[in-house]
Amino acid sequence: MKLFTTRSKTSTLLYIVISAVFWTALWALAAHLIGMELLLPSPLRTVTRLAELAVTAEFWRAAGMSLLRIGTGFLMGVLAGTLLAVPTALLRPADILFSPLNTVVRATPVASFIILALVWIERGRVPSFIAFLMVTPIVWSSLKTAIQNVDPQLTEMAQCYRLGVGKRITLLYLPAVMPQYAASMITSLGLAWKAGIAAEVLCRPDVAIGTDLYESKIYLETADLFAYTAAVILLSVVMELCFRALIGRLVRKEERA
Amino acid sequence: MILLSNLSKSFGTNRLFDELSFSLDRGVYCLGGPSGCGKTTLGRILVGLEKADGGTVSGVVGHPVILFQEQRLLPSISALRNVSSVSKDKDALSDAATLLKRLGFSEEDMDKHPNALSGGMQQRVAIARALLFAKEYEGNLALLDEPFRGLDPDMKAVVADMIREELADRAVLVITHDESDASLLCGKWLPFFGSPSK
Repeated sequence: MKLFTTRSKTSTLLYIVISAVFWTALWALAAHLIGMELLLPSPLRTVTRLAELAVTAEFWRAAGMSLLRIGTGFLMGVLAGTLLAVPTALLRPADILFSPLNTVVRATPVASFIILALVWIERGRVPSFIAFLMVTPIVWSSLKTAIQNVDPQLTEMAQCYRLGVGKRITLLYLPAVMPQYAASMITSLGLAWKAGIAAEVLCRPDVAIGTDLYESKIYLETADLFAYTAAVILLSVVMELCFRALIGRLVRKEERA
Repeated sequence: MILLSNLSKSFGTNRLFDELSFSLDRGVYCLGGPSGCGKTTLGRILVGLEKADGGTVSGVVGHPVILFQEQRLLPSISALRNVSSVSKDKDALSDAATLLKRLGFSEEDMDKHPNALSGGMQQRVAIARALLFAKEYEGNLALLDEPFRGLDPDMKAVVADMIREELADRAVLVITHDESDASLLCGKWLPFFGSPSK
C-alpha cells in the first residue's frame, strides 16, 4: 500500500514536471517565432527580470503593500459574508431583505465598482474595498447554503437533547459547513487577488504591484509586465497554500479534540 | 399520569389515527403495529415534536428522553463525546464512558467516530446518549423508537436491563415491531393499528 502511494506521488510529480516543461517550451517557442520582446518576452527573460526585481526593496515594498491591501479586503469580506450568511440562512425575512444586495454586487461589473469607489474613497483604499466586494457575496452564498443544508435530523436532535448554542455551533454547525465554507474562501481568495490588482492598476496607489504593472505597460516594458504578473501569481499561490494549511490545521485540531 | 385524549392525525388523505385516547403511567409500554400505521408519528406528537390535527396531550412534565428511530450521531466527534455532549456537566466523560462500557464498548471503540462504527454500535451510542440525558434532566416521559434495532440477543438483554434501571421513574413508550420486546422489557404490549384505535 505504501509502495503504491509512493509510486502514485512520484508519477503525479512527474506529470506536473512534464506539464510545466511542455507549457514553458511552448511559450519559449512562441516568443522565438514572434521574435519581439515587446510583444512576448521569453520565459528566460521573464525569470531573469523577476530575479532582478526580487532583489530590490521597492519590489518587496510594493508586494507587501498589495498583500496588505488585498489581505485586508479578503478578511473583511470573509467577516461580512459570515455575518450576513447566518441571519439570511436562518431567518426568511432577513434573507428577503438582504438577498438583493448579494445579487446586485454579483452582477455589477468590477470596473464600475472601481470607478465608483474612486469617487467615494481615498484611492489607496480602493483595492481593499474591491477585494472585499468580490469576497463577500461568494462567502455569504456558500455559507448560507451550507447552513441551510445542515441535516435537519441533527438539528432536531440538538434541540431535543438541549445542546447549548456553543455546542451546537462547535459540534454540529461548524463541522457540517466547514468544507463548503473553506472552499468558498479559497475560491474568493483568487478572485480577491485578480480584482484587487485590477483596482490597483486603475487607481495607481503610490506603492503597489498594480501601479508597477501599469507603469510597465506605459513604458512598454513587457518583460517587467510579465515579471510582475508572475509575482502576483506566486503571491496568490503562496497565500492560498498558507490558507489551506491553516484550515487543515484547524480541522485536524477539531478532529483530535 | 400522561393523558392522550382524542388525538387525530392525517397526512393529506391518509388518516393515521382518529380520536385516539390512552394514558401512560410510570412503567414500560411497548407500542407495536405494522409499518406505516403511525406509531412514530404518535410518539413524536407525544413528545411535542409534531402537532396533532386534533386532541390533546397532557401531563408531560420536564424534559422527555427521546431515542430516535435513526441514531442521529454527530459525525465529527467520537462515540464518547457524542454521549457526553448531552451533559450539562463539562466533566461528563466518565459517566459517558461508564454507560458505553456497560454497552460493550472498549476504550478504543469509544474514541472512534460514528462512521467507523457498525450500525449496532452506533445504536448503542445513541442509547447511551439517551440514558445520560435521562440522568441529567428531570422528566416523566421517555420515548424509545425501536431501541433494539441492530442489536444481538445478548446486547438486547443488556439494553433492556439498562432501560428498566435508568428510566424507572418515567413512563417509557417503546415503539417496536416485535411483541417479544415487551416481555424482554417487562412492559405492557399496546397493539396499534392506527385508526380507529382503542
